[in-house]
Amino acid sequence: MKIEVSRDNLLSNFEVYEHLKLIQSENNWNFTLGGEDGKSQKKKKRTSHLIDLEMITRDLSNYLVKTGSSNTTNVNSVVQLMLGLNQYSLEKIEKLEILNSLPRSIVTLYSIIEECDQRFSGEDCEAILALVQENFPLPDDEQIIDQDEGEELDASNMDIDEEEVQGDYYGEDIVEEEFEQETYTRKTGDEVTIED
Amino acid sequence: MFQLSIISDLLRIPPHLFHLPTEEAIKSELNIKYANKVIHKLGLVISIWDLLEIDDGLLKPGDGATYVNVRFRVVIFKPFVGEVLTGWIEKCTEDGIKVNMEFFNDIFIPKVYLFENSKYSSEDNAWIWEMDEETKLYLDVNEKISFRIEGEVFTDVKPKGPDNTTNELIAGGANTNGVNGNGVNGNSDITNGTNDKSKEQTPPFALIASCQTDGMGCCSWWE
Repeated sequence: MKIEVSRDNLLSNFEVYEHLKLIQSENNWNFTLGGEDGKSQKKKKRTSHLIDLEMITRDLSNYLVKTGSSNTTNVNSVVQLMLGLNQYSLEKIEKLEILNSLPRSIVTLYSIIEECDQRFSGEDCEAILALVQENFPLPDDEQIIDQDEGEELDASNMDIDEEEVQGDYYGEDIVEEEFEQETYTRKTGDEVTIED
Repeated sequence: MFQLSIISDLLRIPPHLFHLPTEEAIKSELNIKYANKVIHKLGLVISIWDLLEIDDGLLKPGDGATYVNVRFRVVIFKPFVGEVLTGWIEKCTEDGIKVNMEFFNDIFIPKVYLFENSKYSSEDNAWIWEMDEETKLYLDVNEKISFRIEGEVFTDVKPKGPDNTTNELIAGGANTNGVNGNGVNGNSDITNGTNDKSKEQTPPFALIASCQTDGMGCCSWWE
């Protein structure tokens, strides 16, 4: 074995997660990404020779889902965020960190960007935070999530904590917005997939 | 947190994989060899990313397998110094805090890298940050915590020789993974975690982290 280039390129959590999803579907493993261990593990005969790969795929994807602060992961929002961040004189590595950790408050932004107070004005910082919020809206915010982004929420991207929250939401929605058929069905849809 | 590295290697493809398309067979063999292992001075391999170059197979007299030179890219977990990561507190001791990231557990925050005025309380089994006279903030086990990477420590874990005690035979399986040629050191012991023996071992790859600036510590403090 010879290491030819030790750092060829940097990867964002998003790219790694997409890659793991691919591996998982290629191998037909039964654990659902992000969820607890699959119940249907008995169905498939285990291909034990790839056990290491399976273990790391499961653990890492669990971790990425748990720490990810947004449910909407699609290529478009990543591209939009990067285009937005290019306006500022950020280092490549700082942009990567913003994408990975999606800061929601000034404190977290300051911890990522070195000497943030000297390099950027308060407005710039606010603008960066707004940019993050715009492209990766918080999933369990009181603000209504845009309809099209809502549809992309699926069970595999659900946070575990959110599962508990979801129950309350559900009840409230029926009482207050019984006539809003669309929201209602979407929420019920989520419920079903989670319990699955 | 993740990076791509280019590696070249001479890989043995056993005859029972000959029915597969070459790329598939190579990828699967490479994943068996590298996934979830630590490469010395590089980091933890997550999986193979793609294959760059595949040479023609070579034959060796007396062996039915082919030997193929491949150049490929792998996904490596190797946080850079200064990066901010999140994890969960696994253990608090007098020396510091051990953090768990599910897929990687060898992260340690020594007490000198904790907030000023932090104290360890053995009753609560937690570290307490006395921010001022009135406010006390607790770093409890299982809290979600942000930390900054300060350094990495690689230990060359040599494969162990045969050990003929009966315990070893019973414990079996898991430990034999540590014996692995070509400088790829077994990491599966660490992920298994439950094994008593593996806890005493020095991990092949460990991270030293700090937790002393704004935004670090429990995630809930800063929300």
